[in-house]
Amino acid sequence: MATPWEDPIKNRGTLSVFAGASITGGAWATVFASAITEFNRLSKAGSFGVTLVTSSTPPDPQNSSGADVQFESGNGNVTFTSFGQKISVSINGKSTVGNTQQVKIVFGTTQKISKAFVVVPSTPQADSTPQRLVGPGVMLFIAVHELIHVAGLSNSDHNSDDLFAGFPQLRTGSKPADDTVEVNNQKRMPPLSLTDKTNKLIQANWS
Amino acid sequence: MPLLSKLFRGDTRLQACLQYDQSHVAPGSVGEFVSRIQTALMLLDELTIDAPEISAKRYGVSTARAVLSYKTARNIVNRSYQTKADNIVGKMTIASLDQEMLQRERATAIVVESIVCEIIRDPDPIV
Repeated sequence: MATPWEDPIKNRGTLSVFAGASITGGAWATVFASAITEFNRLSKAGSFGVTLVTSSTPPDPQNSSGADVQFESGNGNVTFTSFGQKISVSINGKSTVGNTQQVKIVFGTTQKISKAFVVVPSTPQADSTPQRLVGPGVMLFIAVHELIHVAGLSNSDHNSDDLFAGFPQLRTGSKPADDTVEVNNQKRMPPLSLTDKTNKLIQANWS
Repeated sequence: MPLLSKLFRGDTRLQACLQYDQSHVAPGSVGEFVSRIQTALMLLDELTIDAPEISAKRYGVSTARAVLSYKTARNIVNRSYQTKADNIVGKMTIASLDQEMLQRERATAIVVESIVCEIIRDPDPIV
């Protein structure tokens, strides 16, 4: 079930995203910029009610100041501190996983997201011999999928037919540019697309 | 007396507002201190502030309207020179916002939901 962001952020209709040095100085630098653009394209097409902007200020470890979202890559343990609370994420740098931590403020029976932290593998590998980095299309899939979680959607909101598929499969091509991700009905991505079902979940979370 | 809420404490501009009459925060102000006031108004009373004012951290028309609404609801009036609430954040208003934010922060908890997604490895890899 989707969780809304705190009212001041929701009313603003934008989320600011800080990319750490692991992103700007590594394999994800170009993909990250494309992911922000791609999310905003999908947002416009699907009328999400939220867009992303990049920020040069990381989230404050003690309070709500700074960027709303931090995006990092890693191999091993990646740690953050948010509202004084330590968050540790363990990730295999060669895997094809994405990890989003939604930091929620609970007030009575109400939960609202106040910060989000994304971790992707530093050098995700394709299923090829010899091993190599997956193509940029697969990395884009991982990044934008996680940004949908950043928008508030949870595991139970996954579906089988679009970018927000719960069980996507890697299809390794003969070269990185040919690598794709397959979702239901043998649909290959990129290009990335969302169904009405996912669009409506995000719309409802931001209206 | 310093500001105590996590939202306000350490903000020198708002601390000055609490201590000095001449440091009140009025329409037209711009800055992080305005953003903190906007946040408090939205969290405490679910008041609506226009997105451009939030983005610009600007004390514009909708922020002034929210301040007036907050003060009117609590009858925050300096009776030495006025008979009804105005749309300015002065000593009494910032003290009230700080106390209410402190109470709210004490009643809240932080939880972290961890979401892990995986692209399943290629069942028919190229070798």
